[in-house]
Amino acid sequence: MGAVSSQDCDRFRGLIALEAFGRLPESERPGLVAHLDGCRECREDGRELTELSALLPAADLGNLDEEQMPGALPGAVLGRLRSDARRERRTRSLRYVLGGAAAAAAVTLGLALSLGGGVAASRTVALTGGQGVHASLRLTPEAWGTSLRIEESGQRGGQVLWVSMRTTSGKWWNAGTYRTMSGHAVQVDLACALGLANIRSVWVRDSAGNVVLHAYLD
Amino acid sequence: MVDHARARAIRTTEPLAEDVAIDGDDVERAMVEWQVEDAVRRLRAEHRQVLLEIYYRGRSSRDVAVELGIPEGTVRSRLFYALRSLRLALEEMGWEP
Repeated sequence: MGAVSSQDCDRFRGLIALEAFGRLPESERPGLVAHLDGCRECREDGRELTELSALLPAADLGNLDEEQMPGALPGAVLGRLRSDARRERRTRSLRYVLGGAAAAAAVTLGLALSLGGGVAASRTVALTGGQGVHASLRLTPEAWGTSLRIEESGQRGGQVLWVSMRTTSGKWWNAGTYRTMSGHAVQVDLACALGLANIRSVWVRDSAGNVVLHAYLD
Repeated sequence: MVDHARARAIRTTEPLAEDVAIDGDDVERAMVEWQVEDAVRRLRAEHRQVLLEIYYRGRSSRDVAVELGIPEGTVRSRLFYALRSLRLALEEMGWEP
């Protein structure tokens, strides 16, 4: 095994990327294998890129040359949702351990009731926000899910806000977006396929992922 | 008879099963999809271009090099750095391998 130079690595990085996609020409494989055998850094690159390539089939990348898709959630919002979901899962796991069989039975019963499709009444709750912000949320059960009406005033104008809901099982659902208007009260009607009985809390975030309004339903 | 046939004809959909509405795996998959698409959009144009041509459209690095009028090694290098940037962007969004 000979010494590996950084120039060697530069030359093989493209092959590592092709290999991560399974697109490495067979004629070039022996050279790459020999290099990886002697280069820990490139082996690590290969491992990381292979992990990443496994994610790509999840996305429809065929239309990315087109205009920005309006329905795409900003990365910051998604990141916050995902980290919150992870934290919630950890907390829930701990709670299950501490609560034991009685807590598990209660959770099971609650889930069974919600799956049973019991009709909940329309609810109106106050949304908690920053100083000077007044907001309320009305949730109405529908045959197709839940309709939401947000009425708010006092937010800084021109923001795009993202409304999402957390379920009783700790999952996130997106209900839509709206734009605030300076000096004007805003009334927004949104919809979500999630049943009202399954909604535990509602969160409104700005494009940086910061929570600007929230409410718990229980 | 005709009305009955028409009524049957337009009832071609089935109501969603209740468990569809609370399937967290679907939400997780949708989030991954959104994040990957968002991360790809953040790539530099030349990186995104080779990623889409080679990965999504299945073209060879040689074909892409000919079309762009650049060396094949440059195409491959761009692909490598496109993937590195993509990984960084996803990590910033909270993705964990």
